[in-house]
Formats: sequence, C-alpha cells, structure tokens
Amino acid sequence: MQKINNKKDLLSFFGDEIGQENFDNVLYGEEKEQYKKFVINKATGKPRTLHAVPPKLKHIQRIALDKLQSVKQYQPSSYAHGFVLKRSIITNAIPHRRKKRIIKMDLKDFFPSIHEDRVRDMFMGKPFSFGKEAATIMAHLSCLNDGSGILPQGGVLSPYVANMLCLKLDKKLAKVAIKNHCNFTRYADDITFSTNDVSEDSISNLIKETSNIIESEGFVVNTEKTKVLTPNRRQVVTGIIVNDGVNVNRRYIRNLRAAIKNCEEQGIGSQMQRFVFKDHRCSGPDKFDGTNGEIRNYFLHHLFGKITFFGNVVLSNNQDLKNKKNSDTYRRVQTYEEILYRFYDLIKNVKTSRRFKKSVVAAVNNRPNLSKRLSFAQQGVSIRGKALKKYRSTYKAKKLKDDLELVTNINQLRSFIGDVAETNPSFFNTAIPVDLDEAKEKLGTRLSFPPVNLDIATGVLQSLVEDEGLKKIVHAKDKNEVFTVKDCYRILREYYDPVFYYLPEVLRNEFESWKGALTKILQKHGESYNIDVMHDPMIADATNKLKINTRFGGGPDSSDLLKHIKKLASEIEVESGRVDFPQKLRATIYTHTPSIVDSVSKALESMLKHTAATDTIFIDLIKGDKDIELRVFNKSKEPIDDELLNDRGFAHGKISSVIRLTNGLCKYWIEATVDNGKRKIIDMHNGSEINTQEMSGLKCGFAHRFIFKK
Amino acid sequence: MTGNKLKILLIDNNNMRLRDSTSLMQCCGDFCINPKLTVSQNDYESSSYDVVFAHYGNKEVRDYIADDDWNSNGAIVVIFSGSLSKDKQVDDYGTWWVSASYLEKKENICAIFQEVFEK
Repeated sequence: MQKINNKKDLLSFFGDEIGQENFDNVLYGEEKEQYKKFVINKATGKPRTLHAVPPKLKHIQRIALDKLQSVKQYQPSSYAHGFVLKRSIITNAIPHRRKKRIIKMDLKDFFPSIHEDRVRDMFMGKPFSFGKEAATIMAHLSCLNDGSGILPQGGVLSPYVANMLCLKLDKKLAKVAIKNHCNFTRYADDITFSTNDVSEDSISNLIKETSNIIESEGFVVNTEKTKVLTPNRRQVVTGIIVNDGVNVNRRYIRNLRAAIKNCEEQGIGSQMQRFVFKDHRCSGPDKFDGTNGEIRNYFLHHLFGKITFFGNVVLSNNQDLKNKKNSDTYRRVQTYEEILYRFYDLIKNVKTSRRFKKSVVAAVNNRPNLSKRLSFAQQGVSIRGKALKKYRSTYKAKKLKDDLELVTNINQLRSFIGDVAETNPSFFNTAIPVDLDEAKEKLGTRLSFPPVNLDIATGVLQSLVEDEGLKKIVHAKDKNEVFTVKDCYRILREYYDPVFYYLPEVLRNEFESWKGALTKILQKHGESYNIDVMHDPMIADATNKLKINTRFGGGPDSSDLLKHIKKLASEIEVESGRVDFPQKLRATIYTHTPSIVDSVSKALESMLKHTAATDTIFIDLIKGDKDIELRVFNKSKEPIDDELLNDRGFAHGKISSVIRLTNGLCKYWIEATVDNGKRKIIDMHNGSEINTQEMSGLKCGFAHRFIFKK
Repeated sequence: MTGNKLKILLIDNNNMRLRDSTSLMQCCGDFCINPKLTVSQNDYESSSYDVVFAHYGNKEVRDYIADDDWNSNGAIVVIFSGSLSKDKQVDDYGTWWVSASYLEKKENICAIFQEVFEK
C-alpha cells in the first residue's frame, strides 16, 4: 500500500469518482453545506441528537468509507461488533452465553467525545500512517463543520472512525480479559465482559482496571451504567438475552404473536396504530390511516423486520442444528417458524409489492420444515427467485449494472450495447429509445436477467426423455403406478424452476402453457389426484404440444423435420427446382421446433432474395459424434466482403431475427468465401471467428449452419 | 420366411418388461427371440433380424436406431415407448411406433406379428 501523504494521494486513493474541484467545493468552497441537526428519542425515552449529512458530502464520505474498508490493514479489531460487516448485536452477544457473570460498561458521550484533532492523530498513526495533510483532510471530512469539530452521530464515516480510534483500547481491554479469564466484546460504546469466575474481588479489579484503560485512551466511563449481571436475573447484552443460548425477550415474542393474531381476526388495519406507531423510535409515516396502502405496506415491512430479527437471533450460531434435542432452545426455532408461517399466510392474499412477498416466501422456503407447506406455485416461484438472486450477485451481473450506470450519453450506450451483444445475442441490433434515462432503465431491467444458455436449454429438453429428469411429465405411467399432481410439481421444481431464467422465452412459454393445464387439474382435483398426462383430457393436448414443439424426430408425437422442409420449400420456392433437399432428413434434435422452422424459413427467404435466380439452394442434415448440423447453403462463386462478414454487417432484418430466434436453441454459424478466396466461419451469436477445423467441407458458396447438441 | 423361424431382436433396458414381452411373443408363434437389455452397433448390424422391437427409452435406440443411423439390414423396426399417444403408427420411413401399453397384451403383439407376416 502506497503511503498517503497529501490531498493528491488521497484523491487518487478514492479513485476517479471524486474530482479535485468537486472535492474542494463540497468540503471547503461554494457547495459546502451544514449538517442537518435533529433529535429522536432513545429507547429509554431520552432525547438523542443526530446529524444528517448533506447529500454531496455524504456521497464523498461513502466513497471514502468503501475505500478504507476495502484495505485489509484498515480493519477494526475483532472485538468490535458495531457497524462492522458481517457482525451485529447478535454476534456481540454470542460469546457471553450461559456465563455466571456478565459485566457491562458504557462509554459516556461516545461520538461527541471524539474531536477532529483526535481523528487527525488517528489517521497519522498506525495502521494508516497518513501524512499530516491527508490526515487533516480525513478529519475534516469525518467531523462536524459547524465549529464544534466533533464526530457526528449519523455521519457515514463516524462508526468506522470511532471503531478505528478504539483499536488500541480494544487491544488493551482484550489483554485484561485474557488475564482475568473473561470474554470481551465492544459494540460502539457498549463494553461487555463475561466470565464464570464469581469472585467479587476479581470482578471489582476487572472494572477498576478497565476504567483506568478507558480513561487513559481519552474516553469517560458512564459509571451509572456499569452493571454486573448474574444468571438468576435476565442477562441482556445489546438487547439479546444470553442466559440460555441467545434469545429475544418474552414480551417481544408475545407482542409479535398478538399483532399477528389480531391481524388475522380483525384485519391488518386494526393493528397498525397499536403496533408500529406505539414505538416512539419509529421513523415511519405519522398517519394512522389503516386503509392507506402505503402505510399498510410500511406496517407489514416493519412487522416482517421484527420477525426476521427474531429469526436471526434464534437461528444464530446454528442453534437450530446444534440443539435439536435441547427442547428449550429448539422450541424458540419452532416459535419463529410458527410466527413466520402465520405471517406468510396473512399476507399471501394481501395487495402488497411482489418483491416483498418474494422475500417472505424466500424466508419461509429457507426453513425446511416450512417450505413443504408452501403452495406448489409459490415454491417454484421461490426457487426461480433464488436462482435469479444468485445470478444477480455474480461479479459479471454486478459489473454490467455498474458499467451501465457510468453511461452518460446515447453514443456510449450504443457502444455498451454492442459490447453486451458479443456475449448475449438477444441484444444484437437492439433498438434504443431516444431518451437516455428511459433507454438505461429498459436496458437495466433486461440486464438484470441472465443470458439464455444453450447447454442448459438442451439439458432440460433432453431430460424430457430421461428417467432422472422431466420424462414423467410427458410419459405414460407404469402399470399400477400412482403419479400425482404433486409429483408433477416436484419434478418441475427439481429440473425446470432452478433454470427457468436460463431458458429461451419460447421454451419457457411451452412449459408454462403445459403448467397452465396442470394448474387447472390442481384446482379441480387437488394435489393428490392420480394424473395421466398422456390421456387425461384436461392435459393430454398440452402434453402432446410440449413434445411436438420441443423435438424433431422421436416418432409420430414429435416434429418431422422433413415434412416441415417440404412445406417450406413448397411455400417459399419461387421457381421450381430451386430448393434441393434429401428425402431422408431424420435426426432426433432437442430444441424449440417452431423457432427452428421459422429460422430455416428466414434463411431460405434471405438466400432466395440474394442469390441468382438460377442458383439452387440446398438443405442438408449432417450428423457428427457430438452434434447434428442442419445446413442451408448455395454453391455461389461470389465472395463476400471480409469486413462485412466479420462485423455481421449484413445481418439485418431476416438474419437478425434468425440470430435472436436461435439464441439458446442451437449454434448459428455462417460460412462463406471472403475476398481473398479463403473460407471463413463467423459465429452469428457473438461475432467471433470459428476455428478452420470446423469448416463444412464446402469449397464455395454461402452456408447457414444450425448446429444442435446431440 | 416360410420354413425358417422368424428372427426377432428385442431391446429393452427394463428387465422385467423384457422378460414379460419375450414370454408374450413366444405365445404368438415359434420365433427365435433374442432379448437384450442393450445392444451395440456391431451386434445390431452383424446379425440379420427380421423384426427389431426396440424401447425408445434405451439411449442407443433414441440416438441411432430410431433415426436409422445403424443399418437394420432390412429388418422391420418397431419402436415402442410410453410417450406415444396412439397405439400404433407407421412413419414415412417405414418405422413402426407402438405405445408401450399396447404391447402389454398378447393379442396386440400377435396382431403386430400378423401385419409383419403380411408385409
């Protein structure tokens, strides 16, 4: 890590996002704004002063915080649990479970006791070792600009700065803890020790030693709040009860249960005022109108937040897995599951956002005991949601989103789409709305879904004939076999829902259409209905359609490629004898048959239009060990412009449609002779040149090559 | 064919059904039946059968026999599958497609043999 001495080094450390002019203006110049001061009530009812950071300064503070937190050496101590990633009030409480003595101490006026000069000294010291200029700027950036120079409560950098300022304090207190056989944690200004040593002398020595260290580090102990807790009374650490494992207090659970019960019996509106707005720390809307949808949503979010917190506490440290036999601890998990499911039941028919419902369903689905109880449809939706969430958390997805954010004009957007189209053919020749914001929003939505995947799509379709796959949903049952509607959904959940977003839309539509028929059977006969997917009049046609539209070959219940080609030739042929194909076009191909027929039709039309009226167009099927190729080609001696082929510049109208139609269903290559007389193949889905080993063997002519996995 | 026993190859990866179908076929006449759970290209092409009954669920049937990629040496190929909606159909290439449930009855198998004899 290069040493940061001055403003230039600091700005370079922050990256390109903050220009020097902007930085100076916001911190010292024209755009300098004051923090907005406001007061809220503490849990005890006493007032707490907060400072809201002005937006531009907040932006800079955020960047600074991200950069500082990303440096390995600049991390708070492992004893600090407040405002540290992946730590919380729960992780702060866990080390103090089931201890004979808990000693709690509090630092007086934690944030206000930290001044700009202390912050500057901290940045000059280890681990930062910033130069004086850079440290002064950091202090100025972190502290109030109203002359008081204190660390504001509410500042983006404040918790981090406070934690880093306590590095030395934490180390010293940890040493004391080790010496006295104690556990030690700190959550902001709350210091907690716990021990099984009940000797009063030891405890009073610990408190004395700790107080001395705290004062030597420039903080003041709030002696009124120093407490020693014994197991015969409630031991609460950062709001979590630690007497027996970790738990929330009984009143918390009682209130949650009561709120849900009243919602079930009297409607949601009846509870809003009583439950949420009784909380004097609540920062939500201050209206009590139970019919207002926005406030109802707020209330439901609030209630769900409380349930989630309860879950986080009782499930922390894998309590559910470790303590199945310990009825007391496991009963808490069961209580959480019961409350969560009742909440899910409560909101499933309430008008609220889809995203919110999805998060509730996801929480239910995370509990194995509950997921079985979810309705079939919701289980599938939840599985799809999980897969989508997983994709969205990938580096690739995040980078695309970030790159789109950086686009500031239409030209940049065009270039961005061009780059995206190289890996995602669905963006090829995408029309862009004139308004940049609208265009970015539309693109952002499309980019938040994964690109379709040929291997996955082929795998799903091939699984329609495999025992370990989707076969059962299109296959007759064995004699005396019971195969229920529930079984159908189970199979779909296993083989279809997890990959839903990776399938081309046309394929999804085929499956969804079949599922529509299945849903009707579910509604009419229930989940245990013994279904015959081949002959039940409510679903037989849908089953047959699914088979016909997803494979060529494989007998009378699938698409016949030869028949389609014959039909196309008779429909398209302008002059007799211009389309030539063998009388045997027989292969089993898993794809979306209407899209492929459409693609071949478009390729044929395009070739008929662009070749001499006397030229014949050939269609052939070539079988390899791993793939099957459907080829539409001519034997023209005319070369094609090399650059035009490279850029896919000729791909307008019909060919452009073929690119999109075949995306995720087969490879689509074009092979042609270029200006220098050599043969060349371009992958039309990404514009890349294909290795010469893949040459068709044709000596001349233009060939559309559709390649399917065997 | 007269004077010689009809040579039949039966391919089915379902062992129980293979046994049942063999017994049922034997009830229809004095045939030389070769029941196999699976077949290789060499086995398939080197012996000349009159009729091949092949289960579509077998990979080699799906990938090669149904598409006529392996040489059947003029044998009549009857593909049977549980995914067929109709009892019996013959496609443009002369391959028979029969639903698996149709083949579970002796009279149906015998009827198929009758049609094959007529051919």
